Amino acid sequence: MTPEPPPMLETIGVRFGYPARPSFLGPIDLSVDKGDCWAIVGPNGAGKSTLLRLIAGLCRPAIGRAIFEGNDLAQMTPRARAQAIAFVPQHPPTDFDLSVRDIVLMGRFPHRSMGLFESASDYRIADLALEVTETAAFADRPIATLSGGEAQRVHVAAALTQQPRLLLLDEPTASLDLQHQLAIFEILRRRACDTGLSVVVVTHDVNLASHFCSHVLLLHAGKPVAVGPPGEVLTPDILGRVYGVELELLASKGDSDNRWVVPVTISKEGRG
Amino acid sequence: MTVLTPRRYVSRLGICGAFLLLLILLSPGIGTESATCGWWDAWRAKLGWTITAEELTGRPFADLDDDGVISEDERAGFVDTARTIFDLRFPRTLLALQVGISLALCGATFQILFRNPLATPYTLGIASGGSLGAIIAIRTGWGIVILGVSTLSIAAFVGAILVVATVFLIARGSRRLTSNELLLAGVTMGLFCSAMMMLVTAVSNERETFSMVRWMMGSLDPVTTLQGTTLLPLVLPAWIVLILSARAMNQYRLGDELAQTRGVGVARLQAVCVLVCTLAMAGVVAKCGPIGFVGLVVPHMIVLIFGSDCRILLPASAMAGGAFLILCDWISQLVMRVAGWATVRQLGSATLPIGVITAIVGVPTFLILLKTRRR
Repeated sequence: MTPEPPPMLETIGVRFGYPARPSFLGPIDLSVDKGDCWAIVGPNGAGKSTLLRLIAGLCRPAIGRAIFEGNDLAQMTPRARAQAIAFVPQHPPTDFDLSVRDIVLMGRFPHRSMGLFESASDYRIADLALEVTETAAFADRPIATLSGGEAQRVHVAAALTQQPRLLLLDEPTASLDLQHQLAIFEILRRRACDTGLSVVVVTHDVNLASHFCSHVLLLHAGKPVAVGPPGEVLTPDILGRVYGVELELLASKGDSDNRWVVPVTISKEGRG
Repeated sequence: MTVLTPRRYVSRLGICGAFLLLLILLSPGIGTESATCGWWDAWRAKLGWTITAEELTGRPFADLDDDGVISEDERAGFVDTARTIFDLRFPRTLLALQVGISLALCGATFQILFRNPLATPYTLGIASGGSLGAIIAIRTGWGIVILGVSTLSIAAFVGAILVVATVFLIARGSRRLTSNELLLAGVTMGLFCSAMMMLVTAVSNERETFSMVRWMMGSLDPVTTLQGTTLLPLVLPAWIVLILSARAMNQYRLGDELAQTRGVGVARLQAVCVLVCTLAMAGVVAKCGPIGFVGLVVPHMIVLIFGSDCRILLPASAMAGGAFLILCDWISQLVMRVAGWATVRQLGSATLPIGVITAIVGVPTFLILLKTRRR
């Protein structure tokens, strides 16, 4: 029997805190495999973005370790990390005169140490990302002229151009219309299936998470409440307790995989 | 905006470089008395090329005894004069070039690093600190020159470095350059230095006060070739480091988080850039006084013309800064003669202060660009 391969990303007892709230996050034990699509969900201030920043290497855990492909994330050089992990912030800046194509091409930075210009293969990779995210139509417009949702898709394209093995996104669908919300998650899932890209996405949309993600981590006040497949975590019962709302479960067309939770009222007991 | 291809890069920087080269070539012909000899004569005399007596027919000052014939002595005299003129003017241009490049490059860098379009090379108090040092040196009368560097320059240099060090000590803890703390500390220290300058000025006599005021206006006054190059050890590291960091600075503009996840060591980039800029600016202020406006306006002009991709912005700003300061220096030397307002004797100097010219030229140019090229 072959031993199980180690997970791509593993956090072991990771804790983190801010000066005002020391050790508020964790301990988090997470294990992301190649091709997994993880959603981190939870109420505002649950520590979702903080956890994502920890995985991105933007801050170091106070206690515990985050291991990426056998290396301690905190010990990796910024460049080595950047070649493997891409990050899409919640509010990427858009106030530039740079064109969309420029922004997307900048995703190639970690892969080109020398030379001023992108190569033909860099252009191909960028063009592909533009196409996949449906941003090719305004590739030559300055990014400042785009709407919030368009700009967000451009930054997803830039992250794909970075060709990471692990892609981290902080609320990528927050300002997208219904079609593009689905489109972004569809892109992520297809990338995960086809190329083995691992995805960790922070989102408020429990339905999108439950439909597109293979695993869900539900955080509440910095503590993991439930971890596992969406069907086990995103139940009206658990969600209702965490968010303090009453939810209705809709199963459409008798398909047990096609379930939607709908918030109905704020529950009288408040948050659990 | 379109993507920066090697062809666009070369053509844009080529235009800047060609213009700059033209200015440098012409520079020996421009001076307070430019009628004496043209740029071509000056170059030829300096490079030791023969100038025949026949060629000099009609040149002003070549025919000294006014008999219509240029003798061999007069020819030799003209060549000597031309060589002297070259030696007076060319080092001055080289100094303007170095100062202009450094000011514009550091200005562009600070605007990017602080993410503040109003940042200038003097935002951290370098100019005020340098001025205070220089003014104290003038007041105490340390006027010695050691190895081509005056004690005045050394005092200004030390003052500039001390102020930046103090600013960083005050704002320590908040290491992020974008924080207002650092800018406020810089502005406050600048104000404090200004007050101290007034104090020193108040207890100085007329002659000292005159030198102080003159120094504060900034000048490129006569340097020899040797003195002109003393800046290079201070400014060259800044030029190399900043231009090589262009791609990292592009990422930096996306914000600390994105830059870091793209592999840019943000803290290191900031520290290295501020260090080399501080050294370069302290050197410039020590040598030429606080020449304003170049560092603020030139990078903005380049952004309006070529866009804000740092790969083109930084080298183009550098060259434009050099060209801008050389042009301003020409104007400062020529304007008095053209206007015929006053003689050298009345003012003690035949040139207008360079700081005045940079503002007079820079403001309208910038405003026109702002109006016509708004994106």
